[in-house]
Amino acid sequence: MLDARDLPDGQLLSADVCIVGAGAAGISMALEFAGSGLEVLLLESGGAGHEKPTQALYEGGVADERQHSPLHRYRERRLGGSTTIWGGRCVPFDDIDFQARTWMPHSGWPFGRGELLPYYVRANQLCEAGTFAYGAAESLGSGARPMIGGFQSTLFSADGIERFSCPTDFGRRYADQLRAARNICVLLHANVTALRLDPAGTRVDGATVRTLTGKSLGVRAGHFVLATGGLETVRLLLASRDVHRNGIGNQYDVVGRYYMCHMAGTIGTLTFARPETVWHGYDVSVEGIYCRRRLALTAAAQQQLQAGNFIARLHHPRITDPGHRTGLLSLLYLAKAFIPYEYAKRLHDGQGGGLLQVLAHVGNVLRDPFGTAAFLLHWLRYRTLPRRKFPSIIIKSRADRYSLDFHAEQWPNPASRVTLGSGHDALGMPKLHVDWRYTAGDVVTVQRAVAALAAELRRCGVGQLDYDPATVESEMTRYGAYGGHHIGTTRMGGDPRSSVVDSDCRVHGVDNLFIASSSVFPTSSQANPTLTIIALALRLAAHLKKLDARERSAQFVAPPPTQARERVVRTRDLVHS
Amino acid sequence: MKQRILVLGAGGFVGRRLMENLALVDWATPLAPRHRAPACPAQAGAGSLDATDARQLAAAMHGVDAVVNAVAGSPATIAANAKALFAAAAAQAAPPRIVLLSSMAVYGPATGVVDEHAPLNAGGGYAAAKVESERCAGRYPRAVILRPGCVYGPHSRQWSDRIAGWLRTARIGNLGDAGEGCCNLLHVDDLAGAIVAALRRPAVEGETFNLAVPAPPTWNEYFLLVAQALGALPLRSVPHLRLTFESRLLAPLLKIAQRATESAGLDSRWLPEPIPPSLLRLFRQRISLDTNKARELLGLRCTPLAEGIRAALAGSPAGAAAMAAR
Repeated sequence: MLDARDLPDGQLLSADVCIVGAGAAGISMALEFAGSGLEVLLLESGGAGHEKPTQALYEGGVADERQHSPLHRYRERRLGGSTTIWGGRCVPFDDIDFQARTWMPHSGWPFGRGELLPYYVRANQLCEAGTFAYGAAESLGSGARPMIGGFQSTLFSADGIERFSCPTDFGRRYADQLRAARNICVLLHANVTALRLDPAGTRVDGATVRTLTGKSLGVRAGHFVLATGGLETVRLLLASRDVHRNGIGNQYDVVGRYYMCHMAGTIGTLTFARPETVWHGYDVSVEGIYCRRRLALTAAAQQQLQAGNFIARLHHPRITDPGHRTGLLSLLYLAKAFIPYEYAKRLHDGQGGGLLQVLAHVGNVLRDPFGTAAFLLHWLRYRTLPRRKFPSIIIKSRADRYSLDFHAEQWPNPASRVTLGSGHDALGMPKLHVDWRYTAGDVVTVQRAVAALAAELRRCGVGQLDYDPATVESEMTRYGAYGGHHIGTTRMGGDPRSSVVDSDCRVHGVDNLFIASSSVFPTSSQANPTLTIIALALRLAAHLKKLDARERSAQFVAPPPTQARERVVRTRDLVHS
Repeated sequence: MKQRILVLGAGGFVGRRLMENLALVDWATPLAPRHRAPACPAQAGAGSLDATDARQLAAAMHGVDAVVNAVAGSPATIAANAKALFAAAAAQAAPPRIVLLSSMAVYGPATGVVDEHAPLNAGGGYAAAKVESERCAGRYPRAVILRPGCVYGPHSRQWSDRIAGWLRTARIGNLGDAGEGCCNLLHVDDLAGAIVAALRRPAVEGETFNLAVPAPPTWNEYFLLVAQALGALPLRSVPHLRLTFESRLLAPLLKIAQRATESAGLDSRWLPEPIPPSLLRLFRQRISLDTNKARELLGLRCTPLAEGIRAALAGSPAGAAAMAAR
């Protein structure tokens, strides 16, 4: 593991595979190459920890600050990438997510879920989320508590679970393995600022790497992989204009379009006929993995309702409203200044109540000292100290009341886009501008799913969901785009006019440029993206290994340096020096 | 005519199992001399054998066709035993085949897939003694060297009972990256089978064999399998801080307490087993034994892990009780 700042200015490096970005995708790929015989150069912009000047390279503009978080939030530019701050929720995509759905324009993947299954298994291991099993019975045993006793629905399934990673910081967790691999060189503080194409524009000839200390390096590789996330990938493609005027892969102005996050929020009040049969907390699988049941809109129901994918969980009441009279929730509200931005967003929902609201929260804390103290002890024991952390705050309502916490698919929308904006960062890279938008389809998904759930609870006689249907759109956009999920901006497909990469994640028209990121997802599912990002990255690694084997058997020879006087250092020499 | 097989260390974990196996075959007459440690002459009795004494060993191996050396002990005992053993064998009128139980420890901190040609890298202690033993064997043309990984099975204190005990008390569990090393397990029955093959097969003299399960699990995976067999679930995630506390602080204290207890003539088994730093290094070590040669020439077959683990736990009183309680 080397530091680009320590290399001579102007140094040229070469490798078989150059991976740009050492986050979940980049590290997972690199690990797959360990011991493969391929020389791998893994470039990381940051260092081992959070560094303000490096993080500032992420800054950019957003069209509506109420609808999208600042671009330097929810992302970490460091070894491990955003796994250094993620929540750890692991959920695979469903079968229907890969299908072209007649009611959802631009839907459909070039392959089905079966193609990803073997890689999901390994991805689950890398995330330390146990076995790849997402049914409650297979994960928790047949005696596992139901989520809502007596709830039997064809529209919603309560038998699926989500699993939780430690959450694993890929940088810390796999640093030793990366160091131990003699064919992998990790180069820190190495910012790729441009990709250079050959004159025909069909092959990446090299990458320009710059450091914040003013050094410039060059990289040549047989294959380049961009594993820089759903936003930075766009930036790098659009900013690399030496051959293609509109940027790489952007012949048809697709790069940066179809930008999706997820629609999420809490709504309504849920009460149950038999509260003692309701379980909304975490279970622990035999491997010690925290798991949680969820209410998932079935594929048949999605088709019937002409809706996108949707899941919901039982949740505590809105924290900002002191009317919940729960000391712990009020304590969280009062402590919001000390909670990281990414976790405190729902504590800043714009409904300022002034001093009276603060006093009401203080009153809640004072009235519930034992409950608050018990929670703090639990948090210390199960969240702060252990390696595998209790995933989130679970509060049993004293009045047996819950709200509905939902997480829904966003429909692909070419008008929702990421472009180059005004201004440049410290390395001279143009900053990004994000214009995230939601569609009527997104609203329809949540409206119909919530209504269907309310009806099903009523029909089964197990409970009641009270909500105002007129508030669905405002509730689903109260916190704007779900933070940290950057999807679809270099989508996968067979047609360059509507996609950026092919089914092998190779940029259309560029032989040796690949993308490992949620940016290649054509659709967003209900699932958090990390597990699928890793599965796709592993699939890409397998593809590159096969490709390399074929090239070697055809006696493939890398193009020689364009200038004889250039001194090119092979990755293996860096590793062994 | 039956072969006379002298088993040195026949009272130990591996030796006992081998004796049971040899007793079942019609081609061997197993011989098991009583041992005494060289430092304990008071225990010497009629027919007892000091395995570090070349003269006594020469007498014991007179007329035997083969010797299996499964002598355990301190590093000094292991080295002295090997030196005496091969000296005694070389002095025989008809030098016997000797099957020497060495260890994967001879590879030291090596990582990756390691075959029998890998350089030996012993820092000291047990590993150095095993390397020294192999050097002695290297000068003896009729030696067969076996390098097993972690031998588990019924009554395996090190790799079955001790692990089960730690899991039951949640002192280990999923160790994260600290448990991602390769767990080169070998069931004691499979080792006994390999020894028998080393005694019987032609063209194995002068050869060395790695012995372990193919595609070994990680230690974390092994711990989960054992915990599942024990019912010690869910498997706990153990933080690094806890492991550091165990190995750096608790282990030396427990070791001192063990020695003090034993010095006082008391039973030290009630004390918790220490988790030494060397073991934590092993749990991290990504060394995978290449066992192709043993599969090809010795016909090594390995017991499926889940089955082997169940049998191992059923063979120990604590494990059997835990499994019965399920």
